[in-house]
Amino acid sequence: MNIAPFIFIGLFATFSASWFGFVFRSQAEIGRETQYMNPITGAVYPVAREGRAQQGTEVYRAQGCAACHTQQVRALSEGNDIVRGWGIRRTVAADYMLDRPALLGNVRLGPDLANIGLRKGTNDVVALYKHLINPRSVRGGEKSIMPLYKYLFEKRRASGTPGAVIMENEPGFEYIPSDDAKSLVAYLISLKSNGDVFEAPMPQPKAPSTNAPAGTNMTATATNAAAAPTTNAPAK
Amino acid sequence: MLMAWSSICWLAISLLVGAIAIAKIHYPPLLAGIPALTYGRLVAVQDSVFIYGFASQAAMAVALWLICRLGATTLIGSGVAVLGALIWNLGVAVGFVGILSGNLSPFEHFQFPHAAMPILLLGYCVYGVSAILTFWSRKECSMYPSLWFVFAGLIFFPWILATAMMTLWSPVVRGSVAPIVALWAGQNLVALWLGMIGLATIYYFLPKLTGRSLYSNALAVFAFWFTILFAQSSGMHAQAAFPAWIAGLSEITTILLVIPAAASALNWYRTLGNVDRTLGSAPAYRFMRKASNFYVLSVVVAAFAALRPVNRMLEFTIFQTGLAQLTLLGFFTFSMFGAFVYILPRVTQAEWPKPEFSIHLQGSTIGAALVIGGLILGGLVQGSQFQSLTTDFVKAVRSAAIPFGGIALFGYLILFAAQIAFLFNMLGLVCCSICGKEDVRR
Repeated sequence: MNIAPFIFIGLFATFSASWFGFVFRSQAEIGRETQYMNPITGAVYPVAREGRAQQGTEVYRAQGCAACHTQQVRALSEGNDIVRGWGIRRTVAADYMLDRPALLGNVRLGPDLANIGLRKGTNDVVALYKHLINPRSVRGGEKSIMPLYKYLFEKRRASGTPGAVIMENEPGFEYIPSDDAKSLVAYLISLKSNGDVFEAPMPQPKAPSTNAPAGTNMTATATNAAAAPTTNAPAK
Repeated sequence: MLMAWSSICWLAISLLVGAIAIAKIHYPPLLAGIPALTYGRLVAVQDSVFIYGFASQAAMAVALWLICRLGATTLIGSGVAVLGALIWNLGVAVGFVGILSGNLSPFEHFQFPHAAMPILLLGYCVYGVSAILTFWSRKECSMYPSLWFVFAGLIFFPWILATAMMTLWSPVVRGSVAPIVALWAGQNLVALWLGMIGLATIYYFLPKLTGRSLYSNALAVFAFWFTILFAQSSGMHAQAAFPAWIAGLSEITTILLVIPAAASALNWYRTLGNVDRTLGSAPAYRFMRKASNFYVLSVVVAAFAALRPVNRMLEFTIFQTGLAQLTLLGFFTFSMFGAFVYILPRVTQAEWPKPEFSIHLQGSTIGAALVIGGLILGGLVQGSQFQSLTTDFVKAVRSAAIPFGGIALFGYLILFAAQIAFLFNMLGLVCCSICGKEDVRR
């Protein structure tokens, strides 16, 4: 007897199960998520990236950054990502709602970048440029294994061009960031998973300290961000 | 023959690229001025070229041969199969150039640019015409277990490839849906396409080369169904941004996979009995024995790593790369080598110029062991360093990537050299075959 048709039906039925579970159900549930709105502050999360940062997604993808950098923060019970200062809360599927493609990565040969925008702040554009030109020139990165992305910059004799980056170890030269470099840095700065989502609310501070100095370091930003709703809450 | 030749060429390219990529970790300024050779792209090339250039192509070639042999029939539409292989290689070449020019996607096993995927699928469909016609024309109607595995692999592969092609680059699919689908498809590409063909060859060649009959058909059928049932949702737990049910289900099924693997192992062990001494020197048999050992080892190590406390430590480390290589470079590659060593002389009706395969066998074994061992041990070190908060991150990564990455680099180079030796041996085989035909004409 030819049993091939029966095997075929069996295989089809078996594999359909996981296809429906992982492909169809994922799209039906996660694919239809909409942005969250905080009922108290009215803040919407996640926010779509502005044009330059959206272009930077493509640069990040094309350079293969995801081969070494993850963009996913584990919960405190699962690992010490938060203790290392890589995030304020764990990341969930909703954080990547507007990303196309979501660049999660799965190996950490470099630090997690899910909140690099919070760590660096908008003032640190030059520091990020320097890091891309030569990761070993940055303080604490003397032994970095990250590749050099000098080719995203144009190296010239120093002439005081506005926006040029000057490396301390290469006097007399300046680096002009290309469009790709500008987009990439705009994208990195836009990486912040610090909004309120239903599955992973932001941790509330023990004592609201509205007088925390405004700084670029992440714990300060976190306190400010999280403290705002607490202090603005309507009195009972 | 064309498929075997081009698959080994792509394998050599992939191994060499892998070696360059690791060398760049050791010395970042190496080739730093060339955008095409940045680390992220090299890793993508290494993985994709291995999967599509070598592994899938070798699996297609061996599957076709197994259908002919087990169906007691001759190949129907060999011209169509060759055409399929040519289109397939065109697709791989397009993907290879695409990645180097920066058009890569971030998903493991699916780094090729979107343009390469329809070409690959078309190549597979053209090849599939020949495979289906041959399967239908088989004279031996009862299906030996190996044919079950081949049949399953040939059905699953286009399903997985088409799903990935239609979702991963689609503008409709956004957010973390694409990574979930990519993980599902990538995992099943390895387990239910390459894995199925790898198991088919082991189930065929171990009894064949020892001249014994398979210990139990029923046990093989049990292993077949339960491997498929569990493997389709396994290996997806080392991620932190997905819904919890995915990690939970995947942990359980990865551990449960030990049951069908134990059934397979028992079946092979009982089949072989104590024939080692008489056949220990036949290269095809030695490759197959190693492939079966790698298979059992990969399932056991994966199950161990799926335990939640272990996973917590090894998540996001190079251990995951090592585990993937244990399946791909260990189990699958060795089963294909064994099959090639046996099949190619029969297809070309010639003799291997160097039938003992000493360089290829030893080189592949040592190289694969160094790559797999280096990455897995490196991952263990990296994981334990990540757990300690006093260790600086860069230092933690260096302590794993530099010494153990160096071992893997050495392993890739040895593997590369072994494949060059194998290519020369194949070249000799082809020359031998052509000369032989001329002799007959005279």
